[in-house]
Amino acid sequence: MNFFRQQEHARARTRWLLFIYLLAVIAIVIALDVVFLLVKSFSTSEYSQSQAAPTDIRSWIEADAGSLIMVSLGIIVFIGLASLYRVMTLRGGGSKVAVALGGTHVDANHPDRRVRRLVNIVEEMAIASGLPVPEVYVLEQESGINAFAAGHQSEDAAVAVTRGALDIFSRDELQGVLGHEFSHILNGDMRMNMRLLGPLFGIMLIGLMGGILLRSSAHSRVRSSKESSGGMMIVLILGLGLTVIGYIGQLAGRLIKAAISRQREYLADASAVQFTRNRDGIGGALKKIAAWKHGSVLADSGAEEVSHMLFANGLRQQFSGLLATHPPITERLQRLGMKFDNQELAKLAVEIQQISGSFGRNEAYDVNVEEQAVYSAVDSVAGFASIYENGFDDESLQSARSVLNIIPARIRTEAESGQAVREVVLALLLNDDADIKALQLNVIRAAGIGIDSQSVIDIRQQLDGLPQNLRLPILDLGFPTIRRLTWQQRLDYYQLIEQLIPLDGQISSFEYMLSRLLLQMLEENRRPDSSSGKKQLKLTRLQFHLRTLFSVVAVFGHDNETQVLHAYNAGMGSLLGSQQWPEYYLPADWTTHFDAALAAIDRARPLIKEEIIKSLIVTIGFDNDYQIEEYEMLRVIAALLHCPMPLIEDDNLKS
Amino acid sequence: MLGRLFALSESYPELKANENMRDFQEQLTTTENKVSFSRQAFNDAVMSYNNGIEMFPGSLIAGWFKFMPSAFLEIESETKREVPQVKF
Repeated sequence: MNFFRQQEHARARTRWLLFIYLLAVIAIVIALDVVFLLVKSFSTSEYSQSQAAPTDIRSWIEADAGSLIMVSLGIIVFIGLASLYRVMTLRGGGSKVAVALGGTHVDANHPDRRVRRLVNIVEEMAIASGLPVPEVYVLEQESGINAFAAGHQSEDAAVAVTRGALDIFSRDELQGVLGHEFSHILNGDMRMNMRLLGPLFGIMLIGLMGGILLRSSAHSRVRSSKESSGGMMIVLILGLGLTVIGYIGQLAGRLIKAAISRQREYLADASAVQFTRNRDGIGGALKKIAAWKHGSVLADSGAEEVSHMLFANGLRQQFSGLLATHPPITERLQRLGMKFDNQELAKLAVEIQQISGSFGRNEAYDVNVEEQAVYSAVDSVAGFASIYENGFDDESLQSARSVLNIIPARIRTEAESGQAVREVVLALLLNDDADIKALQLNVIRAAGIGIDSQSVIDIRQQLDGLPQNLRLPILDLGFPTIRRLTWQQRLDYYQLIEQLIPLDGQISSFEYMLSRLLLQMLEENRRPDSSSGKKQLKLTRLQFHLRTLFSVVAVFGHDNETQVLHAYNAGMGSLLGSQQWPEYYLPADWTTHFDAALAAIDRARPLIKEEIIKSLIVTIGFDNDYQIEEYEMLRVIAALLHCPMPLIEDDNLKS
Repeated sequence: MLGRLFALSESYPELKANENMRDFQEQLTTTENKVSFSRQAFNDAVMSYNNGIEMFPGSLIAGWFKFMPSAFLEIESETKREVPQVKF
């Protein structure tokens, strides 16, 4: 087998099919011209009987050359506009496509070993294909084996791999699959597909227009049968012609497009062998897809858009034969020079069953969540060094670790496993008052999003004996797991929590923090880069937002009015120094003002944000009495401002 | 070296199961792959360039502008071909 020759063969076939596609589009334009000519001859014979009808086709065309060109141009412009529209709807880099399909961005510091390996393999394949390293995404909720690359050019490309593929493929197989995806990027398959889609879309619109004309002529026939039948005939012929040409054209276009797409798959397979110099890798991957019970199907509804960029067929409804975007797997294996029979298939199926049994999705991941919590605490220590002035040292790492160790093992596994994490967080939210607790549990049951209210109660009982300052570390453990829920699940969950919080008639700092952190997580997943391109604000422009922020923080930690005032002024004074600052003021609906204030302050420069948080510490510490609520409040503010604070183990904290 | 390392870890099961050890093996594998893939990508590019200047129509342009065939990256010396040793 010579993969270079295979590639050349596939490229030649693509060129040939592209040529046929072009011919088909031209044929459609000509067919439409004929329809217009017919219509025109009808109307002229209607209105000017005296003029002699053209005798032969040649003089016919010559007589109408001007309008013919106009019609053809019109159709071409129409198709061009349709293509442009199509391109506009698919605009945005590959990462947007990956996020839309439920992908999570991953990098080399990911806690899951398999994901780190994936990132390494992506880098290897980028080197082998001579492309820049794309963004890497994992589709956590997809258990089918598949992968895709998206992006218009190599600079904005992204590759995504399903959880199923991560768990089941060996290193070599994953390498083969990614080599295949890099070929799609290298050969500009997404761009080509879009160019093919444009004319198809235009032709489809032409068919739709014909349908509308037909229907309208049918209506007018019923209503006014006495009107001249000539005009109606014209509309009828036009409508019929457009419809027939539109649909036949679309079918032909689809067939050729699918054929091109299949050729690109062969090309990509051959390129994967070129990049990895190992046909067993990609061959083994193809065999496993054939054997795995979930196959390569993607659950997400957006799969169609990337269907031609996937590694193997990802659509639930299988177009067989001529309309399929991917050739049959046996055919692909054959072109790689490999064979396999049903016996081998059955053996592989058993093997995969074992693999997926022993490395269930959660298990493979959970080992590392705790580790990640420690590291995230360490990260925050490092980021916050300038505030505590003691840098990143073993001591802070030790402190973070010891906090985590107090959490009972049972709760820890519950928070880390994908199954019960929602219950754990809800258990933290349950009210102490029995009546309100019952009310909350009712709401949880009524929500009907698959949350087990009994296990919420069980977990709550275990939590009751624990010190209050463990609520945050437990959340830290749970949040990465919540991130792995699907977008819809997270949205449902957020809405449930928003319902639960006001049930006791007040909003505690913990409740507020929890809902805001969840919301932030939802928002950032939808617009991953939203925090970047914003205008950065200066301190002086922020003073009214700062007033809200400091007023709320001052009120939370201090009992009497004078203390609140003093704490407020102390914080503002340490921040603004000699400048004027607005008087203390706490609006009645402080949550809305507070949200606005945080959003505005988030746009300040990082150094300014650090100053602000330092001054908040001054406000909180004014009475030399640090309470756990104050600490939680401060941590959520810091997190929402994107300068996370470390976990601290502090005996001075009072609950 | 990789072969030796993996053989070593096979004979010590605890070592193989150790997370750091697995990470280390992965790092070694990926580094060796990156080196060999770089060499391979370079040689593939040289080959497609050399083919291009010899085949029509590229040969015309190559002739006019005197494009010379490029040399492959071949490592002759035995010591350089060897992968670095890791000792335990």
